[in-house]
Amino acid sequence: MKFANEWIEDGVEFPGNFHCATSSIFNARLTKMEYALMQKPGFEKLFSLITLITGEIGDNSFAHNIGKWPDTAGIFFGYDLEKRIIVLADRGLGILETLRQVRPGLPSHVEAVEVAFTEFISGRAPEKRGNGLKLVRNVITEQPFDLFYTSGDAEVRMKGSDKIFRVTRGKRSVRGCLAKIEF
Amino acid sequence: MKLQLEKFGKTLISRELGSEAFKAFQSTLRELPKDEELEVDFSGILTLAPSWADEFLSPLLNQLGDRLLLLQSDNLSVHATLNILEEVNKQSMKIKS
Repeated sequence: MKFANEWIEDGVEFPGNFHCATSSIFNARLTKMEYALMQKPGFEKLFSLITLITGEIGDNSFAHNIGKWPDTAGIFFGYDLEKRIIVLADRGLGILETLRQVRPGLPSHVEAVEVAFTEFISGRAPEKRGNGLKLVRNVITEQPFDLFYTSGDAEVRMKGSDKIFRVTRGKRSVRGCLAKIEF
Repeated sequence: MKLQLEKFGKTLISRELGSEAFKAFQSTLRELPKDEELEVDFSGILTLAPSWADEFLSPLLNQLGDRLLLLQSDNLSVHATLNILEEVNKQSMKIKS
């Protein structure tokens, strides 16, 4: 988490084994994580949902920033299955700038993240996209997983028994997006 | 005709790969007689994500309508993905009982 935070806030470099420069590298590392998770007692069925939400968040970063990365292309993808934590981050355009391409009137990061998690809208319209984060929200709500997600100064915290989806304005503003999944 | 989805991989994630799979399947789909159903078998799939499925199953649903028949699966990601696709497409998919 520390590496991802420092990277998206200040561009501080991190160990290369956490970096997925392309979606192919991300998919390969995700498959490796999936196999490891399948072996973990208690996750024989849940592994597929954890892989799904991780895959959707990571794939979103590549899909919405392809050809538009402001500086470093690719994403941070780190996990510790013993500590049951997965972190993804990118230094891309972020949710607000991406969605403003199709909804220019969006006033804030908070509203943009709210839209991204609740409406079937895509930053790549007229391409039909935009269902991934809705499913992430559904899965986190229904399963014993926690999510912290931030883009700009917007924050989503879905944790413990308080699984009501809400977007709040945080104290800091980050570049791109950062997600922490705990299970 | 039965399509074993695992022929495209066991972890089906990303729109890019779903779109490629759909294009690759078109030549096989042309062999499907007009009065025959296409049965999609999810056995062997570890994870199915909506990004992949929206590029593969949604256009298949448009092409085949009721002739697209999904076989039951106990995989949680398959269930979650099919539910969100039905919601986004506002169209139910036929499940073989």
